[in-house]
Amino acid sequence: MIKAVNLTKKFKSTLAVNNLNLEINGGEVFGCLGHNGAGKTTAMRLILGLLKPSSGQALVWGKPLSKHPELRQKVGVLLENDGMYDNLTATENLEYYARLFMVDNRQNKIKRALEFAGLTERMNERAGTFSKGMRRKLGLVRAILHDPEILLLDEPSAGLDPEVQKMVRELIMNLAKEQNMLILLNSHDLDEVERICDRIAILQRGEIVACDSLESLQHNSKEPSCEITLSGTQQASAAKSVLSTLEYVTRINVNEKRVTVSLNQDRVSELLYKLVSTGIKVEEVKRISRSLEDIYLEIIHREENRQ
Amino acid sequence: MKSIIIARKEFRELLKNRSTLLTALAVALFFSFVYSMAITEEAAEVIIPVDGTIFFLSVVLGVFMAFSLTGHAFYKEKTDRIIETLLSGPITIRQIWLGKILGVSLLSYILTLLAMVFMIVIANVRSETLVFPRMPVVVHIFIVVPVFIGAFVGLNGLAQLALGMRENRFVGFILFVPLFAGLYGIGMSIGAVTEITWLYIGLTFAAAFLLICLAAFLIRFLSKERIITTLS
Repeated sequence: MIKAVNLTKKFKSTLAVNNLNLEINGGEVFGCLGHNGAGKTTAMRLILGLLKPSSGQALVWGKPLSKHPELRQKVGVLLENDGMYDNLTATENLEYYARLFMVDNRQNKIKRALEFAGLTERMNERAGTFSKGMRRKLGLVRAILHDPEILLLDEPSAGLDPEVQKMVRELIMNLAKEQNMLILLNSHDLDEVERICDRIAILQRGEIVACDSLESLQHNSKEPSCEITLSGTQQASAAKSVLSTLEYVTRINVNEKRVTVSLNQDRVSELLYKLVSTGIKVEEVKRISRSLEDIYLEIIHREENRQ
Repeated sequence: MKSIIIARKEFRELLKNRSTLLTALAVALFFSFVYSMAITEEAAEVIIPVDGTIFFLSVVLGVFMAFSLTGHAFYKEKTDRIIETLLSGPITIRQIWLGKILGVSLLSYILTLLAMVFMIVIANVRSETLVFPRMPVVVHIFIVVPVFIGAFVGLNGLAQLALGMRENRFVGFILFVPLFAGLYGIGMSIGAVTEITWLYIGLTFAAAFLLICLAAFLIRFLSKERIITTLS
């Protein structure tokens, strides 16, 4: 449904998106990760047809959205701004977008959307009086009011409290699974991306430096992690001191008598030998799956070193 | 149809913006009051000054109203970045632009009309005879003025969409001050002494129509990229 072919965008001397290639299908939740300025928002704007590619193509259902307003009818967006007018009430805002998108059965859908967002009691209050979280929720229901087939979300959970974040996550997963909706998500929230995305692309300086499912990214990770169980908490502290002297250890987390260690080389046996030889009593060692945060940092640092 | 939806939203939103609305209304009523007092002060035969004053004041006030309200429809939508959401929808730049022109122009025109009615009422109260503008001026009020307001909103809106936020702060002065001063100067020179004929009305309409055509022509060169890359 979404296809980017050698997509490149250059602003004067800055290469914002560089030779991006990707394909995303219906029912898939696709997450884009990257630092500020990595090219996530520019890529989304190129897909939406808000920017013209310097070269390559961004196609939705095989066509560029910029030239096909009728296709944009089937796309929902929640960008950095919620798209809400401060002087209009929640209902008026939704009504406006419902009319623009020619939504059938408008009143019922607006009512249900406000119920879902928990804003029924404040439906006649101006959006300008809402908190950031309330506006974000209103923006999200606005984006799906017309039952889009593709949903593009830029930092959907920004400014939301944990309870609402959970609600948003569940909504995104339901939309993808039950309505076969394609969801493209830009986020800084690694935890959110890890929980809900089927595939993840990591962008750096406008380029995709990794793109795969979380499992594959974990499998391909060159930096192993292991959890070491020691005989007691004092032993754990001692182990931390020893481990912190090893140059191939990148991160150490101590939780009572368990120590989680991230390495930048596969030297677990060497690490164990070091601990045992210094008299530390190791009860158990197991390799563990790395979190998305570990993988993300590994890839970003690797690419930085390469450049 | 989509332009009408946008026009309705703009109109409704502007009506809810009380401070701007009241300021614009106060300015309109103040000027119409001052001019109605001035034209009935000395003249025994007031119909020519009334015609002339309505002729130029309706345009000047219309432009002023349009200037006051255009920023809320165009510039603010850029500073708030709502325009990005709107452009992502099934709607073209031209539809957005047209909708905003209709919404802003309608309210600007209503305020101008109110000011003109107010002026005529005051002139009647102060005059010994019944004062009512003649046919060319009536046509001017109901046909030429709305076109003139629409042309100004269109050009100003186009500039606000196309220019960066810094440039936008100056464009009002670059576009508005010379226009306002020019209109005011021309109006003052003809208002009190010249009989408003169909020729004047025709020339003014032609100027307004040309301006609106110019704006409609220029909008085709405005791209989404231009709008997006000039957001704050």
